[in-house]
Amino acid sequence: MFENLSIWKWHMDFMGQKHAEYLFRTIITMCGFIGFILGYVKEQFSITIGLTLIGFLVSALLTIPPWPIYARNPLKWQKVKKVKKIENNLTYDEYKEDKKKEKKKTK
Amino acid sequence: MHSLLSRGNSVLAYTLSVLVTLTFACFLSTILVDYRTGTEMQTLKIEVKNLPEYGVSKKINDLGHITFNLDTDLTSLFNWNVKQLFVYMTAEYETPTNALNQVVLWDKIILRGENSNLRLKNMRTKYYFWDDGNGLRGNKNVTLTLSYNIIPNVGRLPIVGAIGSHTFSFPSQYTR
Amino acid sequence: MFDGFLDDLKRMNKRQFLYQVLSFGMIVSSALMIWKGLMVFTGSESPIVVVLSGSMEPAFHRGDLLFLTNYEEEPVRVGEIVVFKIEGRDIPIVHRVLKLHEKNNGTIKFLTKGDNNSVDDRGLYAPGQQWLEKSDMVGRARGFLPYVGMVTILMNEYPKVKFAVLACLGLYVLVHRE
Repeated sequence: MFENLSIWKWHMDFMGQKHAEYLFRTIITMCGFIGFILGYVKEQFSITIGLTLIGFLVSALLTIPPWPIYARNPLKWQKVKKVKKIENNLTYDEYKEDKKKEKKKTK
Repeated sequence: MHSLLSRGNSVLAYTLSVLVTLTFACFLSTILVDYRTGTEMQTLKIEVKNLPEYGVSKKINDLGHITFNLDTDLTSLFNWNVKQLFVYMTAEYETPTNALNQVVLWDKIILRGENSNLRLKNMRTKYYFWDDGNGLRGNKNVTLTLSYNIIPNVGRLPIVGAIGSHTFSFPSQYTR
Repeated sequence: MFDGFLDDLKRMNKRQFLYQVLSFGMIVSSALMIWKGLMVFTGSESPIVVVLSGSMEPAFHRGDLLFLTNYEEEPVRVGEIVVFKIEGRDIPIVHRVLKLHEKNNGTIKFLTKGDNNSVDDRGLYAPGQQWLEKSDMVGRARGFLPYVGMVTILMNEYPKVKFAVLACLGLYVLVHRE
């Protein structure tokens, strides 16, 4: 059901995560700092708290949803290589099975 | 940071730690403030009666009646870490049985932003001035002091005594 | 998210699981140690209390946190906010001292009142009790932190919340590996 929402990838890529973290830390810290100075000057601590909470809301809006900006650097996976054929065209599991059967026979 | 939930968690956690830091900084910024201020008090009418304190005990105790003037300006005490002042006037005296008696006669809650310049004239006490026994009549040394308890937004709860007091004596006759 | 928890649990062997249980016990016991340490340091049997009633409004509201000390050598004085226990009541009360009498031999008796109440506390005391004594006192309010105690009020009023929080914390500590 999420195929229709492919723009809304729920996961950010690694660069996106880094940017998002940097962004919310900067916004909240700046709001707190400005709020502290403003609150001190205006003698009202509620200004400090209020501005920090505004910073929280803004940064939550900007960094919690997986906006497309954070999906610009998708991981470049290596191309799938063709698997080498193992001796006698057996996969490893089949090879092990055969070994077991051989052991039983020898008993 | 890879999923919605973990991003929400880290934004919330960071906000909380910033709030805690700011609150602590606010507390630190007012820790060294000197909250002393001056006051002037006078007593006008002074009487003492001898009555049983109904509902408390059958003993007959001394009951003081005073009216007072109070002048003090507490406006300078308010800063960004003061939410409220609890101002109270105490009568302090010694009696033969008790080394120390303290009775709050009047108090007032002043929230930040309310009028904190108190000019009280001919006020009656808010609470009864009952002594614990019969030590008021003829007591020569009853001291009125004004104190205030500072209620902060966050931090210590200091009790500060205002500079200035008023000493008065009770008459040596009971009023009927 | 929950799948992640279960996956972690499946991957653990017995020894790892026991290690997690031990570190959980460590957290619980260090919390207890801090509490007991505070008790020694402040001299109060309950160094931190949550305000549960509105009787001291507008100074303290429900959910505010108070830090108490109860040093023997510091005398009680009028105007101080004391926390005291009354016989027959489980919950300590936070009120202000209104009247105080100190006898010549040093024993004190005092009367309290809530800032937001219109009468003194004699009606709250045990029947026949007129005064509080030093032994009734749990501590005196020294520090104030707003709102933080709201969590405990929520947990006490809705026991389900308490169990949910405890279960989540316990599961997290047991399963989460550094």
